Amino acid sequence: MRAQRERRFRAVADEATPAIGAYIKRRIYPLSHADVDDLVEEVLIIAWRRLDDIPAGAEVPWLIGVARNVLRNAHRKYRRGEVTSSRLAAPHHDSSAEDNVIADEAVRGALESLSDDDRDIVLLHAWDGRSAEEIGVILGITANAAAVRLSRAQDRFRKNFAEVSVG
Amino acid sequence: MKSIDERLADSNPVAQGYVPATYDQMLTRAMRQARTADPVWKTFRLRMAGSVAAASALTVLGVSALNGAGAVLPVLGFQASAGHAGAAPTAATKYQGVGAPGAMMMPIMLNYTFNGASSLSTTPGSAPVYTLNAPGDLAATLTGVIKALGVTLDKTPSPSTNPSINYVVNGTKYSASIYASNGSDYWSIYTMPAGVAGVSGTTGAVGVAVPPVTSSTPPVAGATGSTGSSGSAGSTGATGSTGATGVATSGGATGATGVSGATGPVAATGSLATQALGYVQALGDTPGSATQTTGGTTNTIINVPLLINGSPSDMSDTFTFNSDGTLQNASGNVFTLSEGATYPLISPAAGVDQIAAQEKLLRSLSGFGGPIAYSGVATTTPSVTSPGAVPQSLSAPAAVKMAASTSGPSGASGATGVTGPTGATGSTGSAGATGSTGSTGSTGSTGATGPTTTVAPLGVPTPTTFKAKNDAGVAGPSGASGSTGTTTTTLPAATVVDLTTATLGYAAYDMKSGWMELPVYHYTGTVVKGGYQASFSVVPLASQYLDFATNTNPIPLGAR
Repeated sequence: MRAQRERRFRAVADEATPAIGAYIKRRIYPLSHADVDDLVEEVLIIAWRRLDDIPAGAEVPWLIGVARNVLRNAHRKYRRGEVTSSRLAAPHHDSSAEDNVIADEAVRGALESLSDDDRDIVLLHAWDGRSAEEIGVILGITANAAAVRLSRAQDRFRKNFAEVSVG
Repeated sequence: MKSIDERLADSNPVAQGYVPATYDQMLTRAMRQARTADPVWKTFRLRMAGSVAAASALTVLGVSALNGAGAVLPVLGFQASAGHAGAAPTAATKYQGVGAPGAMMMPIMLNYTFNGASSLSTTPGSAPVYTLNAPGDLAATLTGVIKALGVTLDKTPSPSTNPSINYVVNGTKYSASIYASNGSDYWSIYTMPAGVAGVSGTTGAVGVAVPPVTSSTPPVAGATGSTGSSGSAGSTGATGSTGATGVATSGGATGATGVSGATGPVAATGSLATQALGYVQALGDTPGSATQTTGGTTNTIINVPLLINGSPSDMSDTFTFNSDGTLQNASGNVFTLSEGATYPLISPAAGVDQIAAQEKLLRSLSGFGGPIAYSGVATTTPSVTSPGAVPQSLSAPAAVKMAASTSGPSGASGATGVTGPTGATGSTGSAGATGSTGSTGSTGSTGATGPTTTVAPLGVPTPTTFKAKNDAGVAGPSGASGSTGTTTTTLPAATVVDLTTATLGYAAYDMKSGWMELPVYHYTGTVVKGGYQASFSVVPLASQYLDFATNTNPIPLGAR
């Protein structure tokens, strides 16, 4: 029984880890591989614990959804520690990962103007190559709802892009 | 131009999947539940804090972070290359800053001292860089250029057999060509002269008498035929030749009147300037301040720099008009720009320190950036800057008179032109010097070998040795032996330049990623004791964003 469970876990991990690693790396770039590895390992730990909950045929988007939550938790804990340790420090701009990555000013400006959720959806599609159906799995919503949200987020991105490009 | 979606996809910092190096160990630990989350967060937190501090100095895959600004700017690597043929010299640029067409462009060796930096702005700025892309369809581009210039397209472009030209059109009213050139396309068009006068018509036929009718009545003369229609007026006769120059009233023979030299470029004004700006807009570019040059006594050459981000670039369009205002020929660049990142610029004052450092590099890399010294006066500040007065539509150039006339109706010969006015009296010639030529002196003896002089050029660590040659003695005065020749070897002293202005512009450089238009400071100044002006160019991006590593063929000092 355990051997069968381990075989499935390894199969799921083999399929999903490259996508999970890339997803995390894109969002904490340019931090070190060691940081990425820590977060990937955390996702795999959760995958092992909840292996029976992972939907067959949607393993990758489901685990990207896990990675998304792991990354959010990491940022929350990191920021909490920052506030505690430097409570008296002058406030500073907490740039997003995208700020540090994108050299295309217009693209960066348009992304910065989006809400966190919109930005997540746009980048899940553009960077991670996820379909609306997969985005639905990642976000825990229906495929139709994901398609609508993706379409609206893309519209807002294009609108922001046009404004940034003109301005 | 890439689409929004393509640019968003291009921004993806991690194109490939990522698998940790310790993947198998991770799986083992996960299945054994050997780790808890807390240590993960702890190590992540520590590393993240350290990495953020170091991120400002990070350079990964050619991407350098800008300290403190939160932006990531690519390092711009220069590609060793020949000159940018796309900005090939046009008639106007050849004359730029030169008092007369025949004036010489003098390259100056690299030994400068600059004054006046303190008078320049100390304020840093910022400016975007642009990728230069030539249109993909040369034939279609040339067709568009022809139409934008108001010329009726009667033939389509075809591939040229000339290896330096991609497409050519030999129409009945013009010829045109285009070739791809390092990030832009260079086009030219030459229009044919105005149409010739129509052929004279023949006089109308004389009426024929009606033959007599056999009758008992006397024959009646036939009716006179109607007069043929009158031919239309013929073309006006040529203007009479100018009268001969008057004879001098006294003194020696009258000196011939000198030919007027072409003027240097001045601000272009009037209808031709407006017309030229209209052409540039019809071509889809943003015109800068036009300058005008008179070529001989008949043509007017108008050069229009093309603006990039509101600043003049090294690309321009040039239009030559006949004396009657018709377009004779035109040439220019056609291209598209992709805006890249905006870079911080050092101040114009700080850029002076970069002149000596960059001059040799930039000139050897891409033909731009080095000093060009020239005699004559400075370019007059142009004044035609109002595109608002320029016609916007493609139909604007309709005023161009270049259509050949078809065979006209019958016409009489034009009247002979009147004799031109008598020429003005020439000025009195100066008296020639009297005196016969003295006898030629004998050749002087050969001069002794001069001493060897070693002079180290400023800034060159190793002294350069010059071997003096034997100079022949100069011819001595009549009958006397020539004096021994002397040997003098000198190297140019440092050239002192009083800088006067610094302006922002754009210039094309061959980069590792392709041709780019980079912001450039253009400095102008006066060479002390030289009596001429010089200009210098510097790419004012901070040095950490510029990579000259591929500059493998620097031009030696003084070799140009």
